[in-house]
Amino acid sequence: MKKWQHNSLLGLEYLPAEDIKQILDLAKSFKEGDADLLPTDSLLRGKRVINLFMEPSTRTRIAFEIATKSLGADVISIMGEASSLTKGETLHDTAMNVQALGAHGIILRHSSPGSPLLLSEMVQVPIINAGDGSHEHPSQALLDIFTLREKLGSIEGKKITILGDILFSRVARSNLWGLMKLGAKVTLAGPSTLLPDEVASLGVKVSHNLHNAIESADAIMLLRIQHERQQASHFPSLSEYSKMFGLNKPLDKLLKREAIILHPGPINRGVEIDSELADSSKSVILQQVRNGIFVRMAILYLLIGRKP
Amino acid sequence: MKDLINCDLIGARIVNPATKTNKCIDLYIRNGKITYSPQTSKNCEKINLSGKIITPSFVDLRLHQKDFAGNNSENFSVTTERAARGGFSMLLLMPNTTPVADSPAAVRLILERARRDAKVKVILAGTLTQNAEGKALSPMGSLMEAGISAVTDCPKSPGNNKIFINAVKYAKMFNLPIIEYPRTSDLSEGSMSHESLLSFKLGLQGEPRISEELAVHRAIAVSKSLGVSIHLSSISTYSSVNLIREAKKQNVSITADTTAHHLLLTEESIKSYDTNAKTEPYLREESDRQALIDGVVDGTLDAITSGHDSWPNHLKKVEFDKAPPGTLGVETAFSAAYKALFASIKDPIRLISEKLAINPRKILHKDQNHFVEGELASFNIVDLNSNWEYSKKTMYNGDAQNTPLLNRSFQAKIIAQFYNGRIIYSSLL
Repeated sequence: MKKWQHNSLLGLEYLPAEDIKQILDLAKSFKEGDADLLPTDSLLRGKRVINLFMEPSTRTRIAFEIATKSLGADVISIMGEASSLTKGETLHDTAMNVQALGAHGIILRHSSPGSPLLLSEMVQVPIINAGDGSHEHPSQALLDIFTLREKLGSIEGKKITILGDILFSRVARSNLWGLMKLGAKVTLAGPSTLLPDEVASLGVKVSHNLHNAIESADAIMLLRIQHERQQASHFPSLSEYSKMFGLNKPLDKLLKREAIILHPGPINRGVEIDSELADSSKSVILQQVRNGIFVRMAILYLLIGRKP
Repeated sequence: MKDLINCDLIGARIVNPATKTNKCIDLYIRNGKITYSPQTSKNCEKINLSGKIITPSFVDLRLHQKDFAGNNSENFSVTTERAARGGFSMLLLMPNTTPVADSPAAVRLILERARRDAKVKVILAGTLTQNAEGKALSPMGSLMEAGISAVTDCPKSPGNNKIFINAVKYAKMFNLPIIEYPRTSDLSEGSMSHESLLSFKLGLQGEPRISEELAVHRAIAVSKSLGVSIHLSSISTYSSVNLIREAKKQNVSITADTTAHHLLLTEESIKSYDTNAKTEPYLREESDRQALIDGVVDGTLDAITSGHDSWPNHLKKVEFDKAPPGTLGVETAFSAAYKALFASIKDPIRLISEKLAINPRKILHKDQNHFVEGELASFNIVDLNSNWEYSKKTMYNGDAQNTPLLNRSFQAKIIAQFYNGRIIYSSLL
């Protein structure tokens, strides 16, 4: 296996394509039960991983917990809101405390963009970004891309549409970087208030028309509408959003027969997608969740397990 | 440091745009006063300044110092020590102090502290509206009696148009300079940086240019309609520069400034989430920076300010969105402006003296009695070929280091400042 060069996983914007592929290949080996990696629960034995979640999260945290335990490491989860370790403290002070706990790696979820980079400058241990504000969510994008690769064979040349609240979405940003590096033809689609036109200069298509955005797509990646924050000033109502940008059953006939639908969850049924489509054979939403474990095992192993 | 009240300054080029002076003249200082007659004096030191420049001392149109106890910013003693090194002899303090400069008692307290601790002259702007909230007019007449020199809600701007117009009308009665920091609050609310492709990549909520542009439009319209002079502070966008240029062509009584760091830096400085580059206003794009330089050169922008705002390290060493905006600047404004303008024009020292020394005095209705025989010596000595680095070693050793200019090299440097007949800073003597 190629030597892993990076101390932390802060995002996909600066991660070279070959390193993205390395994570995906290793995740595949975990999924297939590669004999070289057995027993998996010995790979991180003796290591201690801290899940530092300063913002509420269930599925990402649990997926990281399962992945960490599957590799045999101890995991300590600290929820920012509830913990006296972090209450009222600056990130710097929290980082010093966490380092003092003897962590071999820190998985950070934080509402501030750039906070994993800041943390990585404060402590010596690897940092895994589990979502920083609207900036990046690399492990989510890697599991999305892993699922796409599994379903579509490869990413190169495939037409992928990311649909929804692009402006506030860290999932959109990480997928954008990852997919472009692997040669996908990316279309970003959504209401003009949630999708700045300047993004086209990154080499992607920008569309405010749902039909155009989905009709030739090999995959459609839906984003969760965070209506509590954006509704009033960015779109009139959930029902209008659903009418203009929701993926509903009648649109199914516009989609390519073999097209697949992804969603990072949690789904707002009837808003981003009809229940019927969400549960249809096109939907790979549950496979994404399962693949999330293997991708995170690969990330943890590369960052924490293979250190001298 | 020596109190050099008697010396001969030989061979320097005096650059004084107020009188269009730009030639080598020897200056003789006797008992702190300027004379041009070469009299001998026993205790007189002869200083060779050949190749150096002498300019009028600078006046800063925007400086913040929030807390006199030094909890959230440095105290007057440190701030004005930095100002002395930067060639500033007068600083206009913005009213977002603790307490806010919106009552005569607060104004008297702040000015009293300044008189006690400051090394150079600190003058104060009072608020346009009570607590700078944009809801009710401040008692500007009483504030003037207590000693304010201008009015502004900087770093805010009254959102309510009626209040803004009435505040301007009211201030006009007292002939107080009116300074507007042009912002549309609902467009800037929650922002963390300039709105751009970079802010999208970084996941930062951006402030669009139009937030500044709409407020500039308003100020121009109000100035035109009421026939009142309004000074626009810290212009940061190309669109504002264009609006001001057009307004000036129509003889609207508008003046404007930008900060030295906006002439030198762009939003690229925040790409690694460097909170020291989170300035107020935010750093913008290269097209904005170029337009600001053009505006300074063609006279659209009348002045250059420091926008100085110190924050102790522990408040800046936090997540980017949680860090307060603001940068040090009073120590580096001249060197940064020189570096930025040197690339565009030959010998920018005359232009910079106009923007840092002459025009700010005009905007604040202050006298221009530079290099007058018999007056106390107040001027800067400048080395244009100093080639120095602004670092933790060379900066004044205060509590704050919040500047994106740290470890940058500069060509020009203030090497001494004479202030009221004394030398208050010198790296030369």
